[in-house]
Amino acid sequence: MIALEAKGLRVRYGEGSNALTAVDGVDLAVPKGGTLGLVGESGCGKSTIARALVGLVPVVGGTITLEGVDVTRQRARDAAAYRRQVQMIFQDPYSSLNPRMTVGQLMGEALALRGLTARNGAERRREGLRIMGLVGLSASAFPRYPHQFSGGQRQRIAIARALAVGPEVVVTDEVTSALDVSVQATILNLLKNLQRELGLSLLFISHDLSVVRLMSDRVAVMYLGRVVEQATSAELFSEPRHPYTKALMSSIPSFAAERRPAPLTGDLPDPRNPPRGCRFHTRCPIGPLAHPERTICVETDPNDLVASQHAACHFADLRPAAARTAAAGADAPALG
Amino acid sequence: MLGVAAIVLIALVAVVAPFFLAHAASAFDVLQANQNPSREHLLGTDQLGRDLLTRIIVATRLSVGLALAATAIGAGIGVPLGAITAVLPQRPRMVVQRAIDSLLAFPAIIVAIFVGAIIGPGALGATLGVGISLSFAFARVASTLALSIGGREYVVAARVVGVNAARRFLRYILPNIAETMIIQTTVAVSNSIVFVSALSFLGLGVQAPQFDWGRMLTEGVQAFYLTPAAALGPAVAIAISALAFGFAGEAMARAMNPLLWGSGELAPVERASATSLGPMPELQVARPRLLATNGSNGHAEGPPAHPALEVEDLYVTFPSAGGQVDVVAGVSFTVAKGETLGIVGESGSGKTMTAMAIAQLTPYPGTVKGTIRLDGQALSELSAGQLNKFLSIDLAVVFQDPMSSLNPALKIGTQLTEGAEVHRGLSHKQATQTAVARLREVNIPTPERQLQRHPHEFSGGMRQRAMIAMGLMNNPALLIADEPTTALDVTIQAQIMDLLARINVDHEAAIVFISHNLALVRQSCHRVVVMYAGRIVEEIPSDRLLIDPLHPYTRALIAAVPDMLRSPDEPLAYIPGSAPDLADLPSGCPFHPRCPLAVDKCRSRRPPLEERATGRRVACWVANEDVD
Repeated sequence: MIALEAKGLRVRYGEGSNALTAVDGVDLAVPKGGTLGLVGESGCGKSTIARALVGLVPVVGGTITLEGVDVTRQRARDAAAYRRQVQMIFQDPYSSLNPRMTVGQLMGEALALRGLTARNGAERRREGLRIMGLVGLSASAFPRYPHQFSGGQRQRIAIARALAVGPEVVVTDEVTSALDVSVQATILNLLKNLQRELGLSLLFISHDLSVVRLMSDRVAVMYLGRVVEQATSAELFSEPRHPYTKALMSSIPSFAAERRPAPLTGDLPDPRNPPRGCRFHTRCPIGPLAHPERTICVETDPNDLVASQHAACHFADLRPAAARTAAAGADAPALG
Repeated sequence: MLGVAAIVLIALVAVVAPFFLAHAASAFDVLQANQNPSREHLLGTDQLGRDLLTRIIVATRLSVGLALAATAIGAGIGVPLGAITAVLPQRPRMVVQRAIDSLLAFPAIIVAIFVGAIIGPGALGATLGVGISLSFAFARVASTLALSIGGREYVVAARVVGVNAARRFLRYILPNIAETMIIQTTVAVSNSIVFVSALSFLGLGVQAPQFDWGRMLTEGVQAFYLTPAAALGPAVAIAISALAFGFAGEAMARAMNPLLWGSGELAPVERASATSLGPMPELQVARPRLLATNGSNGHAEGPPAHPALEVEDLYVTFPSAGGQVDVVAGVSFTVAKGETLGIVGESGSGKTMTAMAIAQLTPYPGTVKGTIRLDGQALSELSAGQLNKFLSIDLAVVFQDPMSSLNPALKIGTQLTEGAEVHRGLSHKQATQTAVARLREVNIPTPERQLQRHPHEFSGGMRQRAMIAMGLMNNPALLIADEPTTALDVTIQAQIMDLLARINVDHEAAIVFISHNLALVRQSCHRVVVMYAGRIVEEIPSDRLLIDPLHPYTRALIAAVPDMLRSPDEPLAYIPGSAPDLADLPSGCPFHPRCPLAVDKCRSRRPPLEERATGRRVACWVANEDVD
């Protein structure tokens, strides 16, 4: 069952020669009651996808459907009914709450959009308290302003407000990047608990693979406006196929091993003018940089390969993990 | 406060004075005409012998009243017109903005004269004229402010929640521009006092027998050589009331800003069950390969005669409302040549302030106490000139945001060579050669060409590499890297870490690496210092960090990391409660309110940082009693 789905999604900023196609033909599906993780580095288009899905930016191509209903037109995603179903939580809890409204006012405003206006004050207060309870805050928060809370508490308030309108799908964009690691842990646990209790469908966006791994059932990896690999979390983390996914995984500092040398050289290409063919070929460790005969990477766009082999790569590693380990073992003496 | 008091006084005078003094102000006595100041007439008299001081006082009502009316008209038209642009769709917004910009091009006083001339001379014309001319400036300021607020995340968030445009305008845009608009309005009152007076002075404003300060100024100027006070009096009145409104505006803006009300203490409310720390998760741990495995001067054989850096009993103190706050409190550590020391901690732990103090960059008004020795040389014993030279040659600092530490106006080349030319007396050619070599060393392609470029032409990773190259220009003995990769992508982070590791080996530079990322610090450093509330709570060789951390805070931090080794199904451990308020630290061990192992002693006495072995120290009663 799919809650929110995008097919061939394209989003463009600006016009003419300055135009930037931030998202270029992306297929995504947020499973009902589950989590789709979206991971990638800065400029890959993951935040743009979030903004397009909640209706903050118009799309120029592709379709978006919510529970099978087409909401591709900007008007459909601006509608109050859609807003009540799809909510978003932002990165920085220091800037995502109006500094001039108390927590009570912020919550009241969101509840009013669900029909709980000041006329049914008692019911509204009860519901407000119930939601504050869900995120681990109490009524003592209501008369206070956002700046009187710590970063973690503010993020709870932001979550409470998003929940107050009663959404089914929640898009979270880098919700823990501005927080300390011990606070990040509380917010991640909270989101998981809320998902279990409320049956929320989550699109969890982060630059941090290790966080995405904890949160997601499925994971999509993005590079320069494209999804380069998409698979179940278990598959992706045990058998990454795309060289970019592998590079990301070995770049992450981990307790597992000593630091490995940087897997990629060079910087991200200009997204206004992405490389031809495979967009990753200018940095790819298995592409034409290392194997000059692999000209197909420069000539042919592998975008369609995601559907058939999970990875948009002409030379994706499609062997199962066991075979790979065996091959590595066989190779070892030769290398030595 | 002075401004508010002055306004209250002006208001009182404006309301009350005419009732008592109106008659006296118009009583003329030709025999007393054009008198200089005297005991009966403190400011002298005008050409009809009327007392000037009385007239100035009586004129307050009309002068200030018209100015207020004009400002009200200006703000009433301008603020909504400008602020609405924040919620308009793009096209109408452009039209409104262009209109405002064009109208703003006309000088206000000309517009005022024009409108005043159309409506006809008199108080009404002057007021409307000044009001309309002010409204363009109001609209412009309001529009700029509102658009910047409109782009803020909280307004975007409100849109996603479903808050409609009207409500976003009223509850999100207006309150958040109010503060600045209030200052703007009071400044405008002072302006319009001047403008209305000017129109009256020119004969376009208030007409006889009515009189305001401007009109009195006209009459006073005519008699300036006989009785200067007749012109100076109204001029001073105009100036004082204009200033009063300016000051009062700022006071009001401060009073209205909830951000300045001081934060009430809020006991953190957490969900009932905190995951206890329990036994360490079973992590399969590989021994970290140290950055520099050079045996000759490694730390393994005990500290050499002069460590590259010694920090002894360092305090960094900032004044605050409740007295002095120690953001770093008694920190001591050493770093050997060729060693990398990691400092980890969460925000507010004092790790950055420690680094800033070492680099002599403590921001004002912080003060530093304690001894810092670079290569055996105490920095406090150097003269200012020596210190400056010492710091620029022997010390390099790399910050989180390279853009903030590179001068955007200068070419990369100039920034790299400057220090070497000034402090080491290299010729420009020699310095340029060194710069090219260093840029090549940090993997910047075609370094000769890059020297001619400006920082904004570099990507984030390139800038950070240029910063590091700049630090390496003079072969520093110590490199301080404060979250050097936090703003970068992980694939770029890996490149920068490679680079730091090479510098550590090739240049034998000691590195102090500051980060919030435990896994990164463990992989990249020889030793790790963990800070909490401005103090070192544990020092541990990085290859022991995951095996036997002793301090409960260290263990909690490790358990909270969402590491790739962890099973994705079990919840992360977290630390209950929130970071301590440095101005009001808990008694005893500052970590005790959040510590699952705390005993009575922890609440009453602060545990000392005890040395357990070489490079192993821990400040915890419980951990240290285990061995006793």
